[in-house]
Amino acid sequence: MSDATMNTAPAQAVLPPRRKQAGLPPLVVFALVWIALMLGVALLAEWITPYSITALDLRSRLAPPAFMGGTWAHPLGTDELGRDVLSRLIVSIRISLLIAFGAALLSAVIGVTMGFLAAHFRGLVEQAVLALVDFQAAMPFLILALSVLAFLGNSLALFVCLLGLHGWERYARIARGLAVSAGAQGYAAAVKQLGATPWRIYGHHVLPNIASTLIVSMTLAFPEIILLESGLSFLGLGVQPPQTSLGNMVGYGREYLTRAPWILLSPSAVIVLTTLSVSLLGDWLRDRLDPTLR
Amino acid sequence: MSALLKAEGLVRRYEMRRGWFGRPVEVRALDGVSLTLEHGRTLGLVGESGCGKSTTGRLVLGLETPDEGRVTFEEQPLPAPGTAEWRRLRSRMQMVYQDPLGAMDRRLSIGAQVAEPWKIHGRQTSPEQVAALLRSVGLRPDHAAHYPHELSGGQRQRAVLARALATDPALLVCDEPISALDVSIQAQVMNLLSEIQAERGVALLFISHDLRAVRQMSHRVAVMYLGRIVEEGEPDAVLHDPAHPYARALVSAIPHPQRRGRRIVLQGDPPNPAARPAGCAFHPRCPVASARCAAEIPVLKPRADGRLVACHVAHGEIPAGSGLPAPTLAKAA
Repeated sequence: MSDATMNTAPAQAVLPPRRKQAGLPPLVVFALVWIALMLGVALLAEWITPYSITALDLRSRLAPPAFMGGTWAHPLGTDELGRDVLSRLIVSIRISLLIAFGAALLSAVIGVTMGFLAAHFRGLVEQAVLALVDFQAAMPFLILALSVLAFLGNSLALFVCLLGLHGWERYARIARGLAVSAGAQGYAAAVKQLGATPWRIYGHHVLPNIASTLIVSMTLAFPEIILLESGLSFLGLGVQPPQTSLGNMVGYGREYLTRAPWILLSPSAVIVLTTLSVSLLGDWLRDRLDPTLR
Repeated sequence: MSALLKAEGLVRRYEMRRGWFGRPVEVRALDGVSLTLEHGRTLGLVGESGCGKSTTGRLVLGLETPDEGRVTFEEQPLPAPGTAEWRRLRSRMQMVYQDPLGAMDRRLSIGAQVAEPWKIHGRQTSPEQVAALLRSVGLRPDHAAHYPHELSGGQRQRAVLARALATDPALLVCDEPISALDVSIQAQVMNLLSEIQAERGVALLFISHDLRAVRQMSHRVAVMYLGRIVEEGEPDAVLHDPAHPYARALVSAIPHPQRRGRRIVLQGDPPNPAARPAGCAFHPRCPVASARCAAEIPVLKPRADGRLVACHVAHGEIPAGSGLPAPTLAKAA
């Protein structure tokens, strides 16, 4: 870039630097398409499921999917009770995405808020937040989840909130650390000195500056939450049958791994592709959001 | 004309703990600093690192509150940091930083950052105003679309200066504004500061360890040592013929082609604000100290020639001694 501007310095100098308008990398296109597809499936789940997820078809139990010699009546086959795997997959995607996105956002919001509170007030507030962070990090999450679900019962909203508690301490640490360093000696101190309100400092300056780090850790947390949901569902603490989720399908399909691998394969493939897409997209977003990397 | 800024007896203490269970040690970063600054004048503040120059700057800006003493700006005491009143006052007093890249938000264009003070203080902005402001600090209007990392060090410092000048402040505290810049750029930035002062009548508190720069910029110079002002006066007088032994040593450290080998090399350790010597803080290193220096703190008072000096010897109260042996330092600590 410097060479290019040097050669044409007098003519080019008065123009603002042109941003690179490169096309999207193919992997990012794939990730975008896949996530759009998943969101579309989740939104339209009620209209595109061919069967009800609880409709039993006992005559065609464990029917193979169409591409493994089955019929097009059940394109992805059926499970041990003759329920349509495609229909269950569609509904599972909706539930799992709701839980994963909801919990990832929730934990990011809680964590960043706590981190900023600690960084802004320092002193006792900071000590309290850090104590909570240490408590959260030291506590096995399963025990917390078990006790909450045992005492408060089980509902989807509660489950999302519970998973939202998972990992907030990481965001809180990141947000606090970066905000403190920005405030001690740097742009946040400078903006404060200009007379900005805390809302402006944190919302307009600190948050955009640490967004790249937060986005990366959100894309890392997203697969974790999906897997955690699977684990909890498998233990019978998460999404309860007859309701279904991706983790749930994998968990229950495990018993038929040798006889009917399709029950487990399609939700596993969706988990892998979705988490991969989210990671790819997060990586790309981080680079896009940073003007120094453009 | 009344003083724009008046600081009286500023004391700033910090608590420092050695280790987990160590006794908290009181560090006196500032120990009774008084200064006045008139409209459109420049006060230079010099001293070695750790002597409290920057703390003084932060206190007079109201970024921190002094433990003792008070600061009045335009005859009003400074409001507490963080209050709405304090935020409003920011448009009257601004700061220029040592590290311009760190002081700028690297995600916002120069134009957006320069216009930010207007937004904060509820004023309408237009691209023309931004362009005019950038031109006034020697940047091109098209720099508004650049990001901080795309500018050179000198240009960044100009941008920081433009942001500080946006609200037309009466006081500009420049905390080592040129020490991160190349020598050639230093001169440009100093000239720019002088021009801006002549144009806008802004008062400058120019903090630096560069005596050359301070001499060029200032109408008055204050030499600080370990949280106190030890000598204050006209820059030519103070920097040509310093009265305080510390100022003398400081001035002799300026490289000079004709004065080879006559540098005063101070003995002893650099000052530690956590273990302040009794009496004159400088006495353990002072080549002319005598017994009284270790016992009695010299006050900053005017000499016959109008210069303020804090030294028993310089005031002629006692004859010049031959320095005190080192162990007094340990006893005092």
